[in-house]
Amino acid sequence: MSDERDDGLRNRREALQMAGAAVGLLLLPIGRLGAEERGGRQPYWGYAIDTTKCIGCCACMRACREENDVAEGYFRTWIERYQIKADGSVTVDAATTDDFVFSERDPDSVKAYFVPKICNHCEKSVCNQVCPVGAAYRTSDGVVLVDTKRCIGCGYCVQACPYGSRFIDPRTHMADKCTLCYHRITKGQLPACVQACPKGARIFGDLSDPKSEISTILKQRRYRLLKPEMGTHPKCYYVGLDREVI
Amino acid sequence: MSTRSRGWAAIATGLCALLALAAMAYRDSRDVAPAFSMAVLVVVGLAAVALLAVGVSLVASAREGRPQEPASYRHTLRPFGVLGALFVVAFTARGLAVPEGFGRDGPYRAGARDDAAQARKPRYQGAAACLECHAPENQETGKDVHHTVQCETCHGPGDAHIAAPKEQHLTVDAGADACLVCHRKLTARPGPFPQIHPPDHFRLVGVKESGVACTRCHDPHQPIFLTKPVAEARLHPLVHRCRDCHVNRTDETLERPAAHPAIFQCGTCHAAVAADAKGRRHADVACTTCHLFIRESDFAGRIVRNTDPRFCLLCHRAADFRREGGPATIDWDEHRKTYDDTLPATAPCTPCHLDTVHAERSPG
Amino acid sequence: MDFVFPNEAHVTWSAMIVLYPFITGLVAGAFIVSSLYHVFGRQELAPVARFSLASAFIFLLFAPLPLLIHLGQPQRALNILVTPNFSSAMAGFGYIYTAYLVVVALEIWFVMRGDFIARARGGGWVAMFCRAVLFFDLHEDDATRRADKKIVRFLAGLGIPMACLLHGYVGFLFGSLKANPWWSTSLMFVIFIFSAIVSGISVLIFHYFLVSRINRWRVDDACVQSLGTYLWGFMIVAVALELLEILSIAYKQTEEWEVLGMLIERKLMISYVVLQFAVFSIVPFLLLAITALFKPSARIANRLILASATMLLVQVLLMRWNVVIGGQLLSKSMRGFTDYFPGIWEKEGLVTAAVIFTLPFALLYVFHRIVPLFPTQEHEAPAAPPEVTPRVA
Repeated sequence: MSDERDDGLRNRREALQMAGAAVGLLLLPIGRLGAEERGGRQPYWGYAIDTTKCIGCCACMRACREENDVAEGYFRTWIERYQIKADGSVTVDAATTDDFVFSERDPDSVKAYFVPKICNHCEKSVCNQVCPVGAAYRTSDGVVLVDTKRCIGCGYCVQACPYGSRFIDPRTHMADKCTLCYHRITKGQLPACVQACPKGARIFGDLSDPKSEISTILKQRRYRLLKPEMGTHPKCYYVGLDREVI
Repeated sequence: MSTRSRGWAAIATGLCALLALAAMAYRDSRDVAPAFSMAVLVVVGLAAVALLAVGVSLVASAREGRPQEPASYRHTLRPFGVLGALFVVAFTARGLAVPEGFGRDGPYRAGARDDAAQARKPRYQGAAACLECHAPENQETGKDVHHTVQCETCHGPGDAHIAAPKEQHLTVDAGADACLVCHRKLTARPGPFPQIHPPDHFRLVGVKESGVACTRCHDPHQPIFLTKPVAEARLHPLVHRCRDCHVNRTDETLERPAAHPAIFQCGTCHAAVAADAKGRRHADVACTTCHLFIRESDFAGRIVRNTDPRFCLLCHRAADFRREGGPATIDWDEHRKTYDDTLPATAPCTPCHLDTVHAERSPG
Repeated sequence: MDFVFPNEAHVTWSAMIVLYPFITGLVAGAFIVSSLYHVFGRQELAPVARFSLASAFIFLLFAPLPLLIHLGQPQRALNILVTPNFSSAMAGFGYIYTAYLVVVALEIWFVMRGDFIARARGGGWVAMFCRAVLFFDLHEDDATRRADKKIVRFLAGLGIPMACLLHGYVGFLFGSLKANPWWSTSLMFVIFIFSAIVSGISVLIFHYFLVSRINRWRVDDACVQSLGTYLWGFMIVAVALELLEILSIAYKQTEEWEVLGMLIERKLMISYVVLQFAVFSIVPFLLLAITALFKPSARIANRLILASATMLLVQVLLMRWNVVIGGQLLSKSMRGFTDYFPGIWEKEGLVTAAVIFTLPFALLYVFHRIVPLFPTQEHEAPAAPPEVTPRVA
């Protein structure tokens, strides 16, 4: 009897030893570890929007469309107009028709302003997380992009973006979004929208450079993020943002 | 080892394999380059399933205790064999199909970044590129209030023109609507920004028809003919006109004047001049129309005294579209010939006509 | 309250994405019925056990079709297998689907091996096809049958969590999408699984009656009664979860309730409140309650169960519609709604959806012609007692 029990104990110990050895083997990282780019300081791009300066001329929308050949009916950037009446009711519209020109509306509003919107190039972007094939990615210089050679056009990223920045291009049937004019900023130019803005409402620059204009603004002005409760850590900072803006 | 122990060992190992798989998958799901290759993950997963299956069946058969009737598994060799072969082929194919550079910088194809950087040629070139050839316009624009407006905002992207300057020309829409895109008075536009309601503007400056293009008076490159760049004008405390804040709410805000926040208005410092101006012919014209005030920061702005005669001529130049009862109009050349033919075309109006505006500047 | 973000005017996930979870739901439900017989030994389900397994397999074959039609670049669909990004719920689709397809295919192979062998002994193309399916090994005896039974039990047991995973990941996909308040709830995973089982059982009942009517067979009353009881139980859980989800949002009244309430009121009143809940949930519940609790005669019970099954099939389809399309009608600006009509002849329109839904039934008929899906003797006489012919049914 006791022999059997000892047998049992020994067997159990053996079993656990086997299991432990197997686990140890399995946990060996056999794959290669990918390395982030090191060496050579890279910029970390950020964007700021001063909503107190925007005049709603939509020059940025036109510039973006021309520069990036954006599909008609879809927008990589847009301007929203908020008009608040004395009773607190809020009307929001965007100049997405008529060649992007706002016409007067609700002249009896007590508070009204324009808010430019753009892809926030989030640090923990949901779109990257949900792309099933690794076609949505974020570069090490902080720009969220679409790999047009791998996108299958499933639309998951479009649904996942809390800000409505993404869309399926009806011509290519793939996801499309603001690229921060990656083809320009990698050559030292400004994004088309930033360059086009006549009032300096859009600021673009290197967040990792403490002397850049954007770093200075973030240190001096009070700003907010859009939908911070989503946990996406957007990198587009809104100066002077009103509470009505979602 | 007895069957039962072997069975439990297999189950335990299988569960550990599952845990390991979960840990590896979690590690790989972070937004960094994957640490474990697909082959490893799948093999571990399959091993876990197989170990669990074998373990359960061993324990179950040990539990039943009675002698088993024989079961023959030979006929399962072919289907499982084919399946295994398919699996190996599929996996090899999958490994071959993974694009080069995938996973190097993160869970994406490393070459995609360069593709994005070369996706297209920049179209908008920036004002500096225009300046290389079109210096005169740029100089004037650089001085005037439109210096913040890019050439290409009105003229369109310049890439085609720079590539073939003689063949590809840039055009511009010179109609009133083009200017009103920015300058139409909208409730949502910031108050201090110069914006007009065309009927009101035409009545003030003496234009009778509604379809007159802005460019009949305003040169887009020099809209108000500033004599020197805003950046060089003198600093000035922030001043506010009523309509800077009170876009439309005049009734409501007249109710409690005592509660009005403290602001500088022109008359706060320049009381004598402001009072004097009220009795003159230009009483209807705000001080800041001619003494353009541009806010530069939260703390100060710059003030420009506009002495270019072309500025005065914006209202006072005779033309076919002037209305009756508007400002007095002249033809500038004839006017000089009549009154003083030594005057150059750039001579300011104020030395002779100061009495229509206000007295000579006085301190305080 | 009429502003949508400019990119949201167009609804991305169309009727195809409504159809896909509906079809995988049918798969999951049919497989659960088959496993109730093969794993849990519910003998009264013998008449439909093999039919449900075949249904699961055929619907599973058609499941990727709506997805392929929806994809903007369907020729790149294999990217999901080549470079899956495992932080994405959708990436699981490639491997879970393939693995589950293998499991179901294997299970059918082992369950129907005897029938394939019987058919392979004949002549003609069909016999050749059956021989190829058997990998040209036509040997069978009691030993092989015992092995088959064990393997089938293992596969059926393994298949239950896989079926839940295959359908549940879709629920998780919606439930984990924080950007959309209509979708974002932890209950979505479970709701999808239970409503999937409801739809699977319903389509089995519906199809069983349809096939029996066409072939002038008598349905097995005990089987239908059992299916009806299971249907009743699962639908109670499914509808209770759906109600719980919406009631807890309505009770909590967080900021998003303002716009969700308007979504229900303005856009989903008919399809959600009236049809999905009031008509197609309450009526089947009552009908099935009558059959389960009051045990009416078989004729009446069969009619009630068939009617309930049909209604629940519609209810589950409506639920998928209200979730998928309803969530997209709401703008992420939280200030407006958009509209959607799938179109009739569009690539992702109603005709396409109807064709995709009916094709599996046609293919099941072809399957039945090759290997019988119904044990025919059960339709000429009452069900044989279990001791006779211990053949894997």
